[in-house]
Amino acid sequence: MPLTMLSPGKEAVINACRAKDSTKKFLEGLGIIPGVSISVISEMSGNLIVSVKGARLALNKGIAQQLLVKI
Amino acid sequence: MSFRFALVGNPNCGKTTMFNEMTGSTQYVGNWAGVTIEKKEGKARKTKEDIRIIDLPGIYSLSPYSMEEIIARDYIINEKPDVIINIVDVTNIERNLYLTTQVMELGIPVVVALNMMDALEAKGDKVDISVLGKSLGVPVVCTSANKGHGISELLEKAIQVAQAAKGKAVLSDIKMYDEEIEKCISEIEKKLVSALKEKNVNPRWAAIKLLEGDEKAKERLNAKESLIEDIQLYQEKLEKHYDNDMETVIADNRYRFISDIVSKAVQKKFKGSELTLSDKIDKVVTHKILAIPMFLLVMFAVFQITFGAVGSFTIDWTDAFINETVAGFATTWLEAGGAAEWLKALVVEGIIAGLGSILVFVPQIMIMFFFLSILEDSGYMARAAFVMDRLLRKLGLSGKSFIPMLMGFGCSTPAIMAARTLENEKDRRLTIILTPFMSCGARLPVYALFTAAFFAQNQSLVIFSIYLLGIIVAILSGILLKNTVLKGEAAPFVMELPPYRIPTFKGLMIHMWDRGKGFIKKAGTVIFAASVIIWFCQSFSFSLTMVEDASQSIFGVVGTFIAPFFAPLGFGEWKSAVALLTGFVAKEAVVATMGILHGVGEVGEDSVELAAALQASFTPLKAYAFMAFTLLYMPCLAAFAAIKREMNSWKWTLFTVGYQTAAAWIVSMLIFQGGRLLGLN
Repeated sequence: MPLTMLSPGKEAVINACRAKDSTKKFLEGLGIIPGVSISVISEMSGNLIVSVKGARLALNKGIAQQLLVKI
Repeated sequence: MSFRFALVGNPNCGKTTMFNEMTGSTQYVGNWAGVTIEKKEGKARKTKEDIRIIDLPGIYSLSPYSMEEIIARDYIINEKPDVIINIVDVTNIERNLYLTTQVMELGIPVVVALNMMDALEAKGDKVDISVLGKSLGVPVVCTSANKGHGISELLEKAIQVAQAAKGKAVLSDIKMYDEEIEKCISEIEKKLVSALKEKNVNPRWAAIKLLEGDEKAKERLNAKESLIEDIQLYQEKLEKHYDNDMETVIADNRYRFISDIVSKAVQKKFKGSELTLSDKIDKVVTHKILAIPMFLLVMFAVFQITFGAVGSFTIDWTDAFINETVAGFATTWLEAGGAAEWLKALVVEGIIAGLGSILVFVPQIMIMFFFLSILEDSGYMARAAFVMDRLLRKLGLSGKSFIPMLMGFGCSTPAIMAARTLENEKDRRLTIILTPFMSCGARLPVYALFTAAFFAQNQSLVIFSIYLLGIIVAILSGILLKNTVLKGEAAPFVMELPPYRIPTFKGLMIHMWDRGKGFIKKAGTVIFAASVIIWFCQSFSFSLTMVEDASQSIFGVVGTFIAPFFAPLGFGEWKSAVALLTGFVAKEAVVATMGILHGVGEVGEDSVELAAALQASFTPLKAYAFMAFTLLYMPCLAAFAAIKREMNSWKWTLFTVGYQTAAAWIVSMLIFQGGRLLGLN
């Protein structure tokens, strides 16, 4: 399911990233790759603050929809 | 011995603070991603050896996708620093070590600085640096740059490493990838050693990059077609084996290697994923409904303090100092010395009046920078960008454009440069065009002067409305340009939110002074020269004789010539025209010119004489239209140069300033003509 479906406070594992190559590469640098656990800290009209490897990242809705996760 | 050390690290890892501590130079420290955009160099103090420190942009990885990454990578590969000092935020070690795993492969000696140790210790966590050093195969030093701890040890270690390496490549024997991948890497490496002999690069790094299919590396290595095809076979084989693309497999391997090390070397006191204080603050600050009202409240408070009681107190005080104490002293002194009448006029009416009109506002501008620094250093700025992303996306911009725009309230020039953090070229161009609409500190003296003369009752409200006007024009321009010349989707918003920090007083002062000193310097140089030239142009005619009536002067003639252009806006008289013309040098010069042209030595906020002089030629409506024009028309020379540099195109630069001036003319015209229709005066 897309990351946008994950409710705040729940943890999931990143499954795949459907973003275009340059974005994907940037996300890899931030720790967003398949197999890494991710949790949603807060949500604001679809835009998310997530926790990945202890760091807080802000993602807009468009990019959150391209990240697939599984619980 | 002389060495070059390059500082490499993630954004927000404390790299700029480290650089300041090492070199003693005081420069900009921000809290949002990518603040160190320019290449900065300094000389290390407190070392016997001659050491140049190079501060590279804050980056998350060495893959060449953003401008910063390319700058950093090109520097390391082409210039080959003697040592790379890799700064790692130890409170965020897993993510920060990702860059380390890439830096290690370049074949240049690396020293890792585990920074922010104080914050880690405060959490109760522990790091075993000997385990970490052994696993990474590089020396590790603990530091707390904000407290100045561990920095001399770090430099010492780096010097040792540099002396041991003697400029030769250092090959790490750490194997961090799976066996299958390592096998392919060493096979490719062997092929490369013969193929790339003359190229001065580390074969292992080249092998990994070519295996990853890195286009920039392929270009640089200029490898033979047959070799590339050969490597392609390895890549296909591995991709099939892992059922994933090579880049992801390599990244995954690196993170696994890191997780393994971290689990051995780091002891965490709390393992759970409970919310930190920053998370709790974020729940409120980025709340669905509360976020935007809270942001507006913060900004309004900043305005109230800057332009309200505190601000005007400082203006009164400096005004009295310059125009009574300094001007009085100069007059007495010149008279006592028997100076010629023209010299007295030049000093008192030209220089002191011109400079004084600007210097009066320095404390207020400093207060403004102080608050902007608090917003940045505390971490709120990054949140504001996130909150604004939703709104800015409607204009076709990303939330990242928000930071340059907010900085634009301070000074347009660094704000335009800050737009470099935007990855997408169209987003960047649009941000550069819109940023000067955010009213910079230099325009403030103009508003202060006019509101004091015409809107004394609700001065701060009127100034606020001018700032708001700038924002509204920016919004409308954004919509217009995004649907015409700059069509396209905004880049996705991905940004790290650093934990909230209480800014240190020292940090704020450095930050504030660093930005504010530009104004004082400008007053001493550009405005000083401008004051002399303005005084000359209004005292002498084209035939270089001193004139009694200023309208016969050089300015009078030029001003009268261009004044009709401003007539539909309500201020078609030559003095205003000339003032706006000199505003191109620096926007503060508008006030200086007004002061000199109206023959008033005193141009403070409560300057009764200039206010009276202005009241003779302006009405409140005309004054408002004039302020709107000052706000919107083409920015000053320094900002113009920054636009040219950043756009890297004359066509776009001229479009930008042409658009801004056209917008200024239209908006002022609408205000003046519309106001008249409504019966305002």
